[in-house]
Amino acid sequence: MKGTQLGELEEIVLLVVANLYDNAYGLLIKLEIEEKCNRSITISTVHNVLQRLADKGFLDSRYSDPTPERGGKRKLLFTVTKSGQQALEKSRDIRATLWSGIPKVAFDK
Amino acid sequence: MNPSPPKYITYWLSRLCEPELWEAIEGDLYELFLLQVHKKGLAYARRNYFWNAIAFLRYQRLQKKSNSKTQHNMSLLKNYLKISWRDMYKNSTFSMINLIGLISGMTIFLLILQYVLFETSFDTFHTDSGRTYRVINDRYQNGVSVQKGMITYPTISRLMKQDIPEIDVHTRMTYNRRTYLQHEGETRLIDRLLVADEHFLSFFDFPLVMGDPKTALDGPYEMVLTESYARLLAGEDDPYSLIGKSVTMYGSPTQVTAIAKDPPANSHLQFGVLVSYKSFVAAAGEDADNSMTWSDFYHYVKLKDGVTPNAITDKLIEFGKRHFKEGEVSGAEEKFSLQPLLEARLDNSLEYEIGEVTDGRVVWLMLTIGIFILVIAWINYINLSTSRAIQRAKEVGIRKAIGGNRDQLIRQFVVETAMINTIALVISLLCVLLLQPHFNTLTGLQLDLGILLTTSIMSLPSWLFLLLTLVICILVVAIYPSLLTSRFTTQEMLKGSYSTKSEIVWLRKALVVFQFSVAVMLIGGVLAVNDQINYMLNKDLGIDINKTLIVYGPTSYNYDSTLVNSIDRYKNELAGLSGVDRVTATTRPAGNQMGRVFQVRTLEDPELNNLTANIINADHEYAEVFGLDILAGRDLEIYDHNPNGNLVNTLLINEASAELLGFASLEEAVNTRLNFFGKDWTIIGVVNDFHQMSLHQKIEPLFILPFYMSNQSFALNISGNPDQLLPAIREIFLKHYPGNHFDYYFLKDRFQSNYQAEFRLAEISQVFTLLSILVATLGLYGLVMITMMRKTKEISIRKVLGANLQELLFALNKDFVILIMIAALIGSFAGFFTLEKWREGFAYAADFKVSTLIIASTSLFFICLLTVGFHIGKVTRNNPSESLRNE
Repeated sequence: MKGTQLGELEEIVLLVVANLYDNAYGLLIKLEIEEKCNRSITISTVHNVLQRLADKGFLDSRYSDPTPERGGKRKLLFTVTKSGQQALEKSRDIRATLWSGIPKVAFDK
Repeated sequence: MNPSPPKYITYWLSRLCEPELWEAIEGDLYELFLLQVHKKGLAYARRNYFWNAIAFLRYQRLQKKSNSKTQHNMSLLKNYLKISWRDMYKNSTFSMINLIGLISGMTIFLLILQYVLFETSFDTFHTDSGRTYRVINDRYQNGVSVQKGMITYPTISRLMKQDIPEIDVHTRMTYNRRTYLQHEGETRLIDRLLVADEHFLSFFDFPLVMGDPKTALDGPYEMVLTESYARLLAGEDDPYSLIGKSVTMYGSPTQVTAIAKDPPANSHLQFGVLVSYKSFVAAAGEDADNSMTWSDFYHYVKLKDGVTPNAITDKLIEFGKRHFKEGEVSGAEEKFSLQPLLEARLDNSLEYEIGEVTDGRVVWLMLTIGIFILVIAWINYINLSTSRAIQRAKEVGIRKAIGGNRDQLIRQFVVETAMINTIALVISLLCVLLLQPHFNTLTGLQLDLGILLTTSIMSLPSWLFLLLTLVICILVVAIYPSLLTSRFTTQEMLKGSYSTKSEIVWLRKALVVFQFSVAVMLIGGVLAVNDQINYMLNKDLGIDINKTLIVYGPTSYNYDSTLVNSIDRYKNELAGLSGVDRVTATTRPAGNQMGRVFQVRTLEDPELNNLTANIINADHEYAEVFGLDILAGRDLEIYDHNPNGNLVNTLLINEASAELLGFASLEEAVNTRLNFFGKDWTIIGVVNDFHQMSLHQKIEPLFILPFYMSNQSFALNISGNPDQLLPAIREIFLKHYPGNHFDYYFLKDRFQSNYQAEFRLAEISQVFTLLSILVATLGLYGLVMITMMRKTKEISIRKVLGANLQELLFALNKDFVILIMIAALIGSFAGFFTLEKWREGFAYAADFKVSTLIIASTSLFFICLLTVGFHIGKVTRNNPSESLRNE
């Protein structure tokens, strides 16, 4: 079924949202990705991915209270859902299996 | 205050985005913006904000939303188009009136635009055209302007470069209209020879096909051929083989150093052969390089970047004073000024012009006519669509009732207007393609629509500019009626009181008045131009050129003491032919610009000095051949000539000279003595004033000097059939001057070619004026139709009550008649002032006839009356009971 696979960027965003627990909103996610992953990403891309993840059911969203530093605009806060958590775990397991299957000689040189 | 991001982009995005998500996006964008203001400054942050916002266009939610909206709009658009189409189809008369008007307007406008774009594109292909100038040399004597022209002394641009630091580079040139060139035993006539200095090829952008522009005109006996002249000399097959070869020019072997591309059609400088300036100096002597009195040379300069010619006006005046010492050097006060290269083509007011120039006012006049016709067509559209809206009141009412808002009503109008304009545009493009060959014959130019791609208007490509203008015009034309219409309530529209609202009635009246004022102006203009042409062709020139054949003299012989005898022998043999009445040799047959002498003084009155007169060198039969009257004294006789030019000391003057020299009567002038050319002369007779030049120019003081020259033409007074005479004349010419090129023209034709611009204006304006009247009349016809539709009932009731046809015609015509009369009045006034302006270009203009404007007004008046009457007549003949029952 489409939607159970996680793209690389989707996975990172999902992980960052989990990291930022309860304070994950667009701009902060962008800044966090730029700091932690050392890559630049535009705000529109972040929103795009968040929306995609929400459509897949991996994220829940709700509006915060209005905040003065944003010109009185509310933040759209994201939290990882149960199925989001499962998708992350599945992805980690696949990687772990693949890592453990690498023969020692392969990386020796 | 907090720094703010660009608002418009936020607003724009917010309209496209789902509102529930928008708040989060806007907040994020704003927070990011604040962050960047803090880190990198406001300007960067604003820029960044813009791009970040733009990036949201890919946002999926956004696209989903806008999709649904576009679909909605698309379906409405389809509906608009369908309704517009049905409406057009149903009211085919109005649609045809609109279409015919728009198609003629657009076709004419596009044709005229090609012409205007071509004329204004002159010399723009030079890279530095914006800072290139032509040197103009004006001459004054005793404070009076005696010459305003291009020719000046060979030293000028070099001295300017030395004296005035703002001048960057310069080049100088001169030209020979007819020069012969010998190649492989054949003599060729070169009619476009330009003598150009070593800077010429790098100064202008005339690219070379072969050869080095830096050295091609560097030394003496070097020349550059254009491709077409190279083909002429060496044949089609191998024109480039001429490079490095030598041809004979000015009697000396001259090497072909380069082949140049032919100058583009939109270059005011046209040449077939370029000869190095040093060759000219070698042939004509050092004077050609450093004379301060020999004025036959043309200079072009480039100013340094950012310098305007105004900034050096004073320096140029100072320059003239310093080098020419108020007339002591050359006999006249010399004033120099600069003319922008880009203005050269459209200014034909300068004397001794080197380039191909034309009357710029004619070009702008054409453009105005083109725009007027298009505007008349659009006015038809506005008038008909506002008036007709009443018939569509139900449609509009229903649209409003089911929730169509004002925006949508306006959109409906815009779509409709855009549709009909697009149809008209497509058809008129086809018409342009069809009419192109005829138009090209009319203008004598090679024009096509491609010019829209290669030129630019206000730094936009022409086609884009046109398209934008068209879009704006469509919006204006569509929005005005739609705003008016949508302002009224549904009720008003349904009741029909809408179309009699004073605002609309006034607008309609004003527009009709405008249309017909323009039409009166155009008709008046056409009549006046024709008047002027008739005047110019029929005016007594004071000189008889009707039966004059001019045969060019030989070139390959030099002046010596036997010249007079040899010319006389040739002349006598020509005059011996039956059908040739008389022959004279002269340097300047009528129609040619004459040379001037500047330091004339009379021996009687020492106060009268430094006078200017034109010079014609001619033999003693000149006055007889050209039918001049000797008003006082005697004609030139054969004994006035002398093979030794220094001993010639008699002359004829014209009436204007007698006035200039201050003689009370013409008799008094005879036998008085003058001094010029460094010696004394005696006036032996006075001839009548005659027009040497076209009627654009004033008759100036003139001296006729009895010189035989080596570069003369022969004027033959013929009474026989030219076709039979020419072979005999040619035979005699070749017998006397073997190896020379025989060439001739008819003086009358050549003289009248001076009026080319007027002929062209007359022809084009006639056709286009007719069309503009047609378009305006069509519009009026449509308007009358609409009015009559509303008045059918009124007419029928009037008829039932016993009104006869005449009374009806009067009652219904009244409104239109008043409008046309106002239009005639306004048009006549406007026409009068425009024509006065145009007539300033002629030293001799036909008298202004008030009848011109009266004829224009009344003819238009009757056309309108016919149009209106025709339709009213149709309606009034109907059986009243029919229309009353129908209602």
